[in-house]
Amino acid sequence: MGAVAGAGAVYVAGPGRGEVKPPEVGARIPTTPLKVGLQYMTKGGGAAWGDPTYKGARLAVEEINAAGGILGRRLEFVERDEAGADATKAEFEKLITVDKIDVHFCCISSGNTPALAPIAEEYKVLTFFADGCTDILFEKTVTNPMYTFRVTNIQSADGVTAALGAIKFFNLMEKDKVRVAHIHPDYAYGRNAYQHIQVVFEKVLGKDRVEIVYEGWPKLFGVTDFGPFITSILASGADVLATSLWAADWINFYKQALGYGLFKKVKVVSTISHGIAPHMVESDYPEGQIAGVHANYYFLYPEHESYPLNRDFVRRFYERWKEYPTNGSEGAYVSVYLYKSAVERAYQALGRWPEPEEVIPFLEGASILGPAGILSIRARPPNKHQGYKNAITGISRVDPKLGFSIVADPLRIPVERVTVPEGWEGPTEPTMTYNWIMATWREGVLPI
Amino acid sequence: MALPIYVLDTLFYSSLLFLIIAGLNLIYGILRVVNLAHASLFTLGAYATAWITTSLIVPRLGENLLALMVLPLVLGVILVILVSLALVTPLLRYSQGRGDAFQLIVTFGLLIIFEDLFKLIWGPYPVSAYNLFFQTGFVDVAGLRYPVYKLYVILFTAILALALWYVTYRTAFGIVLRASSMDPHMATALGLNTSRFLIIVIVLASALAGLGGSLYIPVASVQLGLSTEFLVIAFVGMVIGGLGSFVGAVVGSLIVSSLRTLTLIVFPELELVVLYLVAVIVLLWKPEGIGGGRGW
Repeated sequence: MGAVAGAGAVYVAGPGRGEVKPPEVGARIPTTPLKVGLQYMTKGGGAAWGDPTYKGARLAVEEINAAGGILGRRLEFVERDEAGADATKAEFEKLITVDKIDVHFCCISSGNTPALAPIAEEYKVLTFFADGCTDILFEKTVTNPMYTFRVTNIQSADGVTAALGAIKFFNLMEKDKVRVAHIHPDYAYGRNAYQHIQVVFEKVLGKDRVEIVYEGWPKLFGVTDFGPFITSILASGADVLATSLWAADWINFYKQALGYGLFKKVKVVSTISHGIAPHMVESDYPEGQIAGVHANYYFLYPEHESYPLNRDFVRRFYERWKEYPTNGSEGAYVSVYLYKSAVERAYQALGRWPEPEEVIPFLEGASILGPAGILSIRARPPNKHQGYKNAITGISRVDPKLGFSIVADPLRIPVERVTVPEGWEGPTEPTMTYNWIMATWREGVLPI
Repeated sequence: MALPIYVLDTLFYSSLLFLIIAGLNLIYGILRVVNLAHASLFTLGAYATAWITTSLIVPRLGENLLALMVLPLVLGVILVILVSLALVTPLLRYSQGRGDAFQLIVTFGLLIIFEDLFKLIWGPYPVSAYNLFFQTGFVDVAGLRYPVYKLYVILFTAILALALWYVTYRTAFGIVLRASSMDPHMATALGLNTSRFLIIVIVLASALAGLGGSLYIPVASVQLGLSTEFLVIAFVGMVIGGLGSFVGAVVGSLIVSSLRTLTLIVFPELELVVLYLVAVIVLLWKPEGIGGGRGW
C-alpha cells in the first residue's frame, strides 16, 4: 500500500473536527483503554524544553478523551521521564514490556531519538517523536523505519533557516566581508547548527567573503558564567554571532551579554532563542536580532485572525497551562492527533481497530493541518517518516501588550528550500541536506 | 587585551566554588560525611534570593541598590539555614558513622528531593534576577566593559575567606573545629558538646552554600539540574585542593577555576577532561590534595 493509503489524506489537529464514531453493532473495537506512553524531559536542565512539550501531548490526550477517545476508546497515559540515552532507553523498554503501551509519544533530545528508534522497531510499537530532530535518525540509524515517526522539522533546517534569515535581514550580501563568531553547545545539535549555518553563509555569500573569527563550545547546561566567551567574542571583532545556545544557556548568555555591551557591537543570529516558553524571553531582549524558533512554530503564527486553528490552540493551551505554547508543545500536540487521525482512517478502510502495521500506510504520505500550518509525513527516503512543515524565523521585537520579546516580521520559507528533497541520493556525512546544498545551490544566489 | 578579564572571571568563578567547597570540606572534615545534597543548598539560595528580589523587594522598594544588595542575600541565607536545620541537619547527623554507602544513598536521595521541590515550587523554567547585575553597572577594564557586580563578589568572598581563616586559626571555636576534624573522638572525650557543635558546623556549611547561591543569582539564572553541575565541579575541587581542609577549599577552587578558564579559551571541548585528568594526577601524586588534607 505504501504511500497510496496516506497520500492525499489531510487530517486536522484539534477537537470538534468530526470524530469518527464506530457503529454500536459489530464495531470490532476493543473496549479496554488505549495505553499511551508519554516520555519527555520534565526534570533537570532540559525541563525548560521538555515540560511545555509534554503539556502539548497532555492537552491533546485530554481533548481526545473529552470528545470520546479514539473510536470510543479512552486514552490512558503512562508517564516516564526522559533523561540521558541509557536511562531513557531503559524507561522506554519498561513502558513497552511492563506497562504494555499501545503507542508512544516522546523525546526532545537528539541523543535519545536515535537510541529509542531501534527499540520501537524491534518491539513494533508506533512511536512519534516530537523533537530530537537530528538528521542522523533517519539518514543513518534507522533508514527504513516502519514504526517510528518524527513531526518536528529536521535539525539541519534550523541552521539553514537561521542563516538565510540573517543574510536577508542583515543585508549580508551587500557586505564585502562578514566576520562570523560562533558559539554553540558542544553536542550533536550545536555541531549540526554550526555546519549548516556555515555552509549557507559560504555558499550564498561566497567562501572568500566569510571569515570565522571565533568558535566557542560550552558544554550544554554546563556553563552559567559566559563571561570568558563573551569577552573572546568581543575581542574577535565579529560582525555576526551565530548561535544555537538554547533554554537556560541562552537566557544566561543574553543577559550577561547585555551587560558586556555585546549587542551594540555584534548582530546575533540564533536558531532557537525564542523557542523556549515565550514569556521567558523578557522585554530586555535586544531588538533586531534573528529570533529563531527551531525553524518550526511560534505561537503568533499563522496569524490568529486568519488561521483559527492556531488561535484556538493557543487559547486552549493557555487556559489549561497558563502559559503560551512552544514549538515543542505544538509538535507533541499534533503528533497525538496525527496518530488518532490515521487510526480512524484505517478503521474506515478495514472496519475494525487496526493493528500498528495497518496504521502505518495511513501515516506515510499523509498531511495534517496543525496550529503551525500543514505538516506532511514523508513516505520515501531520504528521511522516510520525517515530518515537514514550512520553516519560520524572524526578528526580535518587544511586544508592549504581551510584555516580552516576540518573533516579529516572520520570514516563512517553504521547507523544500531548506531541506534535502525526497528521492535525492548523496552522501550522508555530515548530513544529506549539507551535501544537497553543496551540490545544488548556486553560488552567490539567495534561494528565497 | 582580554587577559585581565580572564583573570577576573577566574577569580569570580573560584569565589562561588570556594563557598561550596568550603562547606563540603567542613562537613567532611568534621562529620566525615560526603554530602551529595550540599550543592542543592547553593541552588536553594539562588532560587530563594531570586524570588525574594523579584516578588518582595523590587515591588516594594523598587531598584534600590542597598536594598537589593542586602535584603535578598540576608533573607535568602536565613531561609537556607532554616531548611538545613529542618531537613539536612537531621539526615546528616543520622548518616554519621553509618558507612559510605549509606551516606551516599541518603544524601543522593536528598538531592533528588530537593530537585523535585524546586520544580514544584518554582516550575521547570530558569529563574533569574539580574537586577543587581544591571544596577551596579560596569567599569572599563583593559578597554572592555566589566560588570562591577563580579568585582563585588570577588571582594566580598575574599573578605569572607579571611574572616573564616581568622575564626579557624585565631579563635577558640576555630581550635575546636580543627581539633574535631583531626580527631573527633578525642575532642568528645575532652568534653566537647558534640551535638550542638555538629549542628553549628552543618549550619555554617549550609549558610556558605546558600550565600554562594545568593551571590550567584544576579549573574546567571538558576534552573533544575544546576545542583548536579556545581556538585561535580566542586568535588573535583575538593579532591585537587584537599578533602576536609580550609586551605584545600581555597586552593581547589582557584585551581579548578583557572583550569576551566584556560581550557575555555584554548580548547573548550576538553574542559571537563582536563579537570578530571588533573584530579587523577593529584590523587596519584598527592592523595591528600595540594592544599593538604589534614582536616580543617
